[in-house]
Amino acid sequence: MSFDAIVIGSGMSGGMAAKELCERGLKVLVLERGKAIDPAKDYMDHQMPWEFPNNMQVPEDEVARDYPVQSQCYAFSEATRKFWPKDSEQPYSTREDKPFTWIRGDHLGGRSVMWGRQSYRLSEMDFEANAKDGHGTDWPIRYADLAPWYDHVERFIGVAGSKEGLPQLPDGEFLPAFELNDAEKQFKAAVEQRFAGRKVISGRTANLSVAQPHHEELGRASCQNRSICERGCSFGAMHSSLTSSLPAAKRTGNLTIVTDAIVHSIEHDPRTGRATGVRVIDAKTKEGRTYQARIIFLNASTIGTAQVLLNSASEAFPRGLANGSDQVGRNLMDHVYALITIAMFPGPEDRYYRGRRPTGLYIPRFRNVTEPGEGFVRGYGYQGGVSRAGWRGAALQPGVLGAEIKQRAHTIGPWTAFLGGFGEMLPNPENRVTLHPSRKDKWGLPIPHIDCAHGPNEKAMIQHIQADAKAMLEAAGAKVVMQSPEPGKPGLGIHEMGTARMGRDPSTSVLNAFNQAHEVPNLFITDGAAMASSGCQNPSLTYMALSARAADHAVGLMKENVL
Amino acid sequence: MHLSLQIDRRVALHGIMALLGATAVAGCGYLPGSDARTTLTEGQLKLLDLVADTIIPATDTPGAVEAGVPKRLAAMYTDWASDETREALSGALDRIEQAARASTGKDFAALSPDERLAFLRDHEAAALKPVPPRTGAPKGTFIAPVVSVADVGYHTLKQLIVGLYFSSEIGLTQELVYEHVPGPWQPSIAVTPGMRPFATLGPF
Repeated sequence: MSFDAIVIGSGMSGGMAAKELCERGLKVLVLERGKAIDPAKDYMDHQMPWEFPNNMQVPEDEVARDYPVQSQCYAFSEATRKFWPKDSEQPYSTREDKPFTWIRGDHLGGRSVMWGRQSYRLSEMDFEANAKDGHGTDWPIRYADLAPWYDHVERFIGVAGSKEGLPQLPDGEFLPAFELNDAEKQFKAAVEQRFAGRKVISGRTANLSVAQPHHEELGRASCQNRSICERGCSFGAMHSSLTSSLPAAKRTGNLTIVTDAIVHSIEHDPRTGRATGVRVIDAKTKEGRTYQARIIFLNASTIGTAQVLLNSASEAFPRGLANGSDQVGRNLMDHVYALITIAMFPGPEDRYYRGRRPTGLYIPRFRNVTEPGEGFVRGYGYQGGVSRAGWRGAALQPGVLGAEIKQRAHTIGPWTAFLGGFGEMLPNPENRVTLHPSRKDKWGLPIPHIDCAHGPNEKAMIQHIQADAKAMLEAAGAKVVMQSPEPGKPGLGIHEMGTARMGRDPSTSVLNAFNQAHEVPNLFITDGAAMASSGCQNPSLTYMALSARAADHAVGLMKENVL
Repeated sequence: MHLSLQIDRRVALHGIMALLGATAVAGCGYLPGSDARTTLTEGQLKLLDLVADTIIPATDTPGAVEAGVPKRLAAMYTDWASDETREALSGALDRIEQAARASTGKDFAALSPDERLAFLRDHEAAALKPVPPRTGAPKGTFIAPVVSVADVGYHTLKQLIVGLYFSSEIGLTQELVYEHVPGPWQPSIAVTPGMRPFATLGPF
């Protein structure tokens, strides 16, 4: 079967690429390795907490056997179980002393269904960083190249946020922000007064604080503040491929979706230098077939994309498709993550809030912006919040029994603050994905082998992330009660990126300024793999902006008959 | 004035990680189990009713039994728990019965509700006493620390009883306020006398 374009992967970036290509009149095939999802039937967001078996938990033996990695994600539960691959069926390997936590989706829409929704732009200083301090290779684009595409994507997906005028975190096309609560406003005032240059803002999130007509046209409604987003939102109030980009693609009449289609490799014709098609294995029948198209968008997610390229080795590309630079699979990054500080906060006892707001507060990066880094380059931001503690902390105390449990549980709890740092990870070619030399999955594909660890710059950041968090909370009169001693394993941030980086020089990068493979002009890669550096901002918004921009460029080249 | 608060780290972090959009409570230390459907014995089921009723009694709102906690816990014993957890849970119940006889000379069931509470208070003090972990025992992580107390089974049992109560319809809607669809976010409302907390599903 032949199409104008094939998009490999239906997640955050693939969904956006498909939409943009379809809207420009291309006949598009989306290939998804996971199962089909019908939101009307498969979302579990209407079930009450007490309606789930086993208190919404997956049986322990099943977790141990089939989901030892996926179950580490907060969103893993009986309510979301169908969204995750079984680690036992879809393995990957790491060195024993270098664990990497690879959290994945296994369904149409991918992780866009369970994502954390935080949406931040990279800034000029992020795009300049590699050139300035010499880590990695220079981004081939600057902020101005991507700014209109950030606008475009934000308008479409809907991002709630406040305009702040910060150079390190550019403003966007925002819906009204989810307002901070009273304790958070108190924290904001204290931090901004005590630390010039630091800001506490409402977390920018892809939830429709106020749905606009173009959202409603797609059946999306305003956020109901349920905070069960990861089950899939039947209100369509958060952006996901299933509720916004794929429906927008579908309404053009140009979209074909094939699920259970595991990409084996991309075929390449050495005479024309073009990719010609995609070889697929049916996940259920294990039958092979091939689809052809004029252009291919590879959006299999950072590790999946590297796996596909490496498995597409040929005589012309013995190291893997588009891998003359030997950079495919290298420079794997995540964010330094799970550095948590928890504090008792002196918030107003007589004030409360109503609703489960789907975001918290955000503290944009200030290190190496308004304040120096101390022994490290780049920086970190924080997500956090201040809320009134729920029943567990008070009611589950040892020695509390009987009516006292109820009495404590139904008392409105004290204000409790937390901050979680997100630190930039530098590109390092030794942090890489390769194909395992011997182990294959049940479809006969070599499994990915991931070799990744934090380096000296990341390690240098850790104590400062914790010290700054403590200082800010204490400046607001809070008493710190807990700090995590070390970050999570790489991968735990679920911001993996960098395995097919954009760059100016084909000998040191895989993709050009339009996410086009230097060596295969009709192959575009616009997922996390394309990232030349990681910033410290949650990256999905950038992947989507790159996807829309690349799609526009690709269609332009097709119209000019260059492709 | 608030009751002193010590945060249950695992619980606090679980909610926080939800906000951060990534990982939290890791499963660890589970043993592969058999496929046989194992159930609590009739005696254990009767005892579970009484223990649950003692831990969360009926007051102005219904207690654990009326909220279906023992029934749901028994189902989890069969359908959810690993062999290790099953052993811990049934062991904890058996130890409650044995200790009741040893210290009061009566079956737990033969005690008055007040006596049960008094007994359980002593039993819990001993059961939840922190002990140094066994040599080589997994420590868990900051996010998911492994609990090391004298009777881990009792810890699990209590966590499940209380957790199931506050995820039951009665616990969520009568003891707490549960709004499945809260609607607009209201960032600042007044706390009024007797106001009960909104049940949280995440940190907020």
